[in-house]
Amino acid sequence: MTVPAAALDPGTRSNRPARAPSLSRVRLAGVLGVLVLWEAAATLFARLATADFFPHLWTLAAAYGEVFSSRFATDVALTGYELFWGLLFGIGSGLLLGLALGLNHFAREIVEPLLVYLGTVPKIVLYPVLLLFLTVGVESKIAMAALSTFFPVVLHTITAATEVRPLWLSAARVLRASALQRLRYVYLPAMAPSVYSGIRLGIAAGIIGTLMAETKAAQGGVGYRVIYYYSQYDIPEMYAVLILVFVFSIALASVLGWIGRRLRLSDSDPAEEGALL
Amino acid sequence: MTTITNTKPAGPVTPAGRRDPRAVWRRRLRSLRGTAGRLVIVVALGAVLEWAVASGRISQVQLPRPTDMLRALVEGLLDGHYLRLLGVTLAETGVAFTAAAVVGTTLGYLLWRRPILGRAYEPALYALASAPIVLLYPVLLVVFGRNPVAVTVLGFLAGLLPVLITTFQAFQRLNPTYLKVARVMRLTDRQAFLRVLLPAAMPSVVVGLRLGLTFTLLNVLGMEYLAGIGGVGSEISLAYTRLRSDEMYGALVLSIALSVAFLLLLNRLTERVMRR
Amino acid sequence: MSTMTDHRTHTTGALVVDNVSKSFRGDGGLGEPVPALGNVSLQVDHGEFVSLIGPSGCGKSTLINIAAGLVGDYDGAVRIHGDRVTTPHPGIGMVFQEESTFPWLTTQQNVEFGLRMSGVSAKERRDQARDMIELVGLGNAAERYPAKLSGGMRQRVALARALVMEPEILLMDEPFAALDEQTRMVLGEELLRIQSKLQQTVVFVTHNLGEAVQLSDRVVAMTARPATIKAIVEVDLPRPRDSSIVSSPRYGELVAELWSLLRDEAIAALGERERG
Ligand SMILES: Nc1ncnc2c1ncn2[C@@H]1O[C@H](COP(=O)(O)OP(=O)(O)OP(=O)(O)O)[C@@H](O)[C@H]1O
Ligand SMILES: [Mg+2]
Repeated sequence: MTVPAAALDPGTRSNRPARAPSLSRVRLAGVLGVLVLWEAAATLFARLATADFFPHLWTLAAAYGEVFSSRFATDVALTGYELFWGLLFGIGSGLLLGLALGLNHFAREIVEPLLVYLGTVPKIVLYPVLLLFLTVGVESKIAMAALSTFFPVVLHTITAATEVRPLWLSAARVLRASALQRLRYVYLPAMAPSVYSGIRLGIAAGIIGTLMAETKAAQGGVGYRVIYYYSQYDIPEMYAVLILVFVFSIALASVLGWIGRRLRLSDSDPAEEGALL
Repeated sequence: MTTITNTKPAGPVTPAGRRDPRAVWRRRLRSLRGTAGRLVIVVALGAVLEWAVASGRISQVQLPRPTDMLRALVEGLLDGHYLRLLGVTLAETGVAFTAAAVVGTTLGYLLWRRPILGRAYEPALYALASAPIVLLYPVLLVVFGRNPVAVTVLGFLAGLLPVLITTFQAFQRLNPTYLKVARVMRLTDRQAFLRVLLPAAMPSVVVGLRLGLTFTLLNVLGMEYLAGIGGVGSEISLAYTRLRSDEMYGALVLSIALSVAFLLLLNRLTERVMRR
Repeated sequence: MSTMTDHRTHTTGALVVDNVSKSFRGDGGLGEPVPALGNVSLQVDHGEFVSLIGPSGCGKSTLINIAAGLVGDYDGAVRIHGDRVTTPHPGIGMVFQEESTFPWLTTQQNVEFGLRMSGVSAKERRDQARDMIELVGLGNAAERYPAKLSGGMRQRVALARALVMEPEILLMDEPFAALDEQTRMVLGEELLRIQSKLQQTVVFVTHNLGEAVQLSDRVVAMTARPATIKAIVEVDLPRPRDSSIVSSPRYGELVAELWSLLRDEAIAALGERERG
């Protein structure tokens, strides 16, 4: 529940909730406001010499024709391929190391801070290293995706292992759970929320990492497409692809969030979800 | 509160604190053990790489000797080149973060004061927070040109959302009793804000600011590298194109050091604020 | 009436505590050993209800945990059916002092947990759990998760979770501490009813002297840390008992006697915490 700010000055605001506009109307107003502002800017800048960076909405819509008639599907497929393997490696290695460290107190004490430090470094600056060791093709992107995915997954898995309270294990033991049963019925459900948010963040980080890498040096892919249009100065097309990327990321985040809530796994703070580079 | 771990019923009681000095030492020793362990890992890794490169198992082009990296780093620092780069990066980060902090806290507070707006746009904010903001960098290059201003704007955008959201949440999750207390005490709006709401929300807001600063620095470094403009990040990109791998790794170590230094500094600062 | 040691033979008891001592090392095993239990001997007969009382931090939970088989490493022996306990005995049930419900399970699933682990069929365990949930008065909270329950309700879930297993020996560590006085009375009567029906052996820790007298056959008063047995008081009130017993004069006398036993220990324990 929202704490009513009006509680502070009871006389004026609190007794007129009936006149408050409905949520959907406020939202609609917001969307329209953005569109109108954009158009206004487009019209204004069209008068000036540097006209192109606020294309009219209809120009933007038309750009999708150009984007889709190009080999965009191939780019999407390439990025999808890189992501699939990158996420697989990143999540797999993150889970393994996270579990190993979470269950070994001594190793964790030494290695976890190291991972935390490295986790704050923008992974993309390691991309040139990957380029030196791997090809400019899919390998370097897969490595980049895996690297980006790895850190959130490993750090959350370590946390998850520490969230298994000894008391739960004791309770399960007294209730006659065998070691295997404790693994299945205590460790697993107790760790799942944290691990899941690690995987969720990892997937988002992997997507960003891959796309960034593609904008820097690549022979194809969605990120490559963005930077290609940029270099050609096809600004509406660049916007068109970027909008698709944003819509996809947000939709994916919502779907993963929804699944988490369905499975009662969501425990992460939405504000933290941007730390993904 | 009962302190379980370091109570010694028969032991001498120190006059200053009640803490057993030996327990303090033990704790210090343990943290030292961790640091030493990490140092060993890093040094061992460096030694292995040094050996691998020296014996030709890894080519000099792919990976210079760690000692060469360090030499490049030290030379860069001594001739002032890296300091200039650091200056640019820090300036971009500083300006971007200050703007994000001011705008973010203000908007977050306003969003809370108008509950209808808060409820209407909260989901949209969360959605945006999970969007890949950094990919907007080509747009910013188009709008602002290839210069540090573009980097600063990206840093601002990246830092804005976490600050805004946490500020909004901080106020929203305030214990409603505080509001009642303020009302019972017949405080004016201004007094209530300054004396009750703000202090109560402060710890969470600080967490948001910390998060914002981290995001800003991440995105600044990232865009510097991707676009090849600005400070430390761009140097990595430039050295790569110049095929100077020792310089590239030097700049890489510099940006890692910068990130880690920020983290440690922020930990110190937030610890201090939270301790009140 | 009160004796320092138990003279009955060690073979007849359901639960035999034989000269048990335990000390803890603080600071992750690096600190000085702190004695929590010092040479405790006690014998609990089949179907007997024994309460443990003693100052906070004296070692009651430690003793209960050892008896439950959760502390493998201790001196002396706790025996159930003649076997020294080092892992949980299958005939044992336990209610923990701390919050111990599984937050990822509903009330119903929490109560079913033990039955499920022992392979009871889905239908059977649903019905048994259902009945027990009704009994502790949580009928309309069966499908709720612990996060949505009050502290007292969660403790009742834990109680039902232990009782539904119909354990031969029931170890209860302040099971009613989080409950209001009325619920405590009702559940106390209910516990006695179940216990006499199933002929269970109960070891019950409490800080509530009245509760100890109301429920027990014997009350064991312990000293401040390290806990030793200071005295054992036989409760010679007739059974079956209900809560009307609190108005009998003998009840008042027994409570007063326990208090006079504990007074000095409570003060000693307070003094130690001041110093520690
Ligand atoms: N795992 C542990 N490590 C170190 N010391 C411990 C540990 N568990 C208990 N102790 C110490 O042993 C003593 C006895 O603890 P215990 O929990 O048995 O007390 P208690 O009688 O149950 O107290 P309360 O009535 O407050 O529950 C305490 O002084 C406590 O500090
Ligand atoms: Mg206890």
